[in-house]
Amino acid sequence: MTLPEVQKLADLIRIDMDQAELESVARDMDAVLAYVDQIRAVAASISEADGNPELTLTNVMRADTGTLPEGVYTDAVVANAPEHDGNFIKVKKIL
Amino acid sequence: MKINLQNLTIEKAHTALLAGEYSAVELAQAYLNVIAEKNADINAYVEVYTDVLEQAKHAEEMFKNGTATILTGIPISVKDNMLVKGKESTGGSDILKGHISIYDGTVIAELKKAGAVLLGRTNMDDSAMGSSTETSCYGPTKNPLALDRVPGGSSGGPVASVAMDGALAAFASDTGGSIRQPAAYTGLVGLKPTYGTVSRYGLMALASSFDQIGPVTKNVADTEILFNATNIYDTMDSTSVPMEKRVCAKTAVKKIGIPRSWVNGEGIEESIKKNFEETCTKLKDAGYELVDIELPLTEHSLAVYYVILPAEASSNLARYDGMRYGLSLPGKDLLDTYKKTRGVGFGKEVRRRIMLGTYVLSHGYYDAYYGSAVKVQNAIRKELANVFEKVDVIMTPTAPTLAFKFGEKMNDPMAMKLSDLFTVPANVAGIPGISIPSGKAENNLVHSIQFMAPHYGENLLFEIGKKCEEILK
Repeated sequence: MTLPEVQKLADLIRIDMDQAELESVARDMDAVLAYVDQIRAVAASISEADGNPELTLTNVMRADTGTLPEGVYTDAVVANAPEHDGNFIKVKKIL
Repeated sequence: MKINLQNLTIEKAHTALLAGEYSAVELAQAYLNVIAEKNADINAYVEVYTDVLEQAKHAEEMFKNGTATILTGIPISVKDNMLVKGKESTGGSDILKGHISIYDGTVIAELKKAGAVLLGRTNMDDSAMGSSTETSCYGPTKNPLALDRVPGGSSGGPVASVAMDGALAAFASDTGGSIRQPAAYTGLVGLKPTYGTVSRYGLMALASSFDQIGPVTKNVADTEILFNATNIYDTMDSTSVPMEKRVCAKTAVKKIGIPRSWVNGEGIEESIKKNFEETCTKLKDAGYELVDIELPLTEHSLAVYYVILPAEASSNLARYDGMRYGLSLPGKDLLDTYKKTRGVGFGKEVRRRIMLGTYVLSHGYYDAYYGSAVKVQNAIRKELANVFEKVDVIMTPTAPTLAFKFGEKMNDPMAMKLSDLFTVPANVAGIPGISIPSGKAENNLVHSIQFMAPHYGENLLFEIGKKCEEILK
């Protein structure tokens, strides 16, 4: 993996990494990817039926509505926030 | 009075509490004394709760008013990634330092309801990523059996708390072996229950399709008690399986499957292979039929795991952004704040795995890595289901080596990952696995074997586990 590729990934995952870490990550990524690469050949040898996700987990959905009574957890949630103003969690401006 | 903690079990403690030989407060105090004496050196606990004796007094009330159950007054430790209302929980990571849980996880709520005494939270690898507890933001935990060695991981704290007699039992989580491998390194019993049995509500998510909560104890009977107490349907965990579907067709263990070529593969210590063969002989002498089996696909579980785990972790750990809880390092703008906070808050291995997960899910690589991994995962499930048509349980060593020395594998991430070789398949397939001590080893360590059963076959594991306790002494 090249340094620009690793830098792009670091930006995508929102993690600051210095030059030394980027270089060592590139090496480690290559080692792990070389190891996990075996599954591509294994997957190619598996018939569609055997690789069929009949047993795979499926997502469980629920209606997009509140599930907890209002206000019960507010104080505790706000107390955990690094910065807050009354019942609002303060964040840096987005736009 | 002096309570013999070394040989104590849940059943013995319950009998003694019921008979009034000692009180729940005296029992809790006995454990607090051990923690005060040993924890500074071992570092099993990262926090001992200040209300332990209060909890024990509440347990005494339950004995007095006749509402006590088998778990009332039993001192238990919990892993630092399980939420206990009003207490700090950090997942062993700087990124959650100062985070106070706002509710009880389901397992914790059940333990409280039963009157169990929660002693404190125990150490673990940063975000449960690791096999030695060396990556914890609180520093490593020592193995109580051999202080120059790791206790395994990621649940090094939970197992050390029990092995040093600083708790009667512990609850931990197992995503790829994090209960069973450390239990093996410290001479204990560890159970990874079937996926969908014990609720994960209130457990910090690592890889949601593998994560499972389970107990660590000194013997199989205690593990059985703790599993039965938490094997309940929970509407708060969307993957919880309705009780009527938790059925295993098998009722007794007669045939044990031995994946011999896998066990004799590369990277497995000679003493482990020798103990495994000796265990096979003893089981045969005890009347079990040992059947050689082949698991050509299951042997690729670790590679499957190291695609799916980082993929899911990269998504689950996206929520740690410094806005709502834990560490927050102000940057020049919002993006900079995210990057600074996550760069400093996550440990080295966590940063790497988030990156790997993002990579295998990215456009152009998704099919090759994630798609292939899911396909092989399904084929592994099928392969194991087919094998369980022929045998009742599968036996392997729990780990390819004994507990290793500090620093030995920290600079070799692949060697560290290989210590989960035998435990990962149970998570990949969602089946239960148990690690059982299988005889003394060098350096005061203990050997361990693992049994895996079909889905919901925990009773088979308890049956063979108890038999092993008799014949492998």
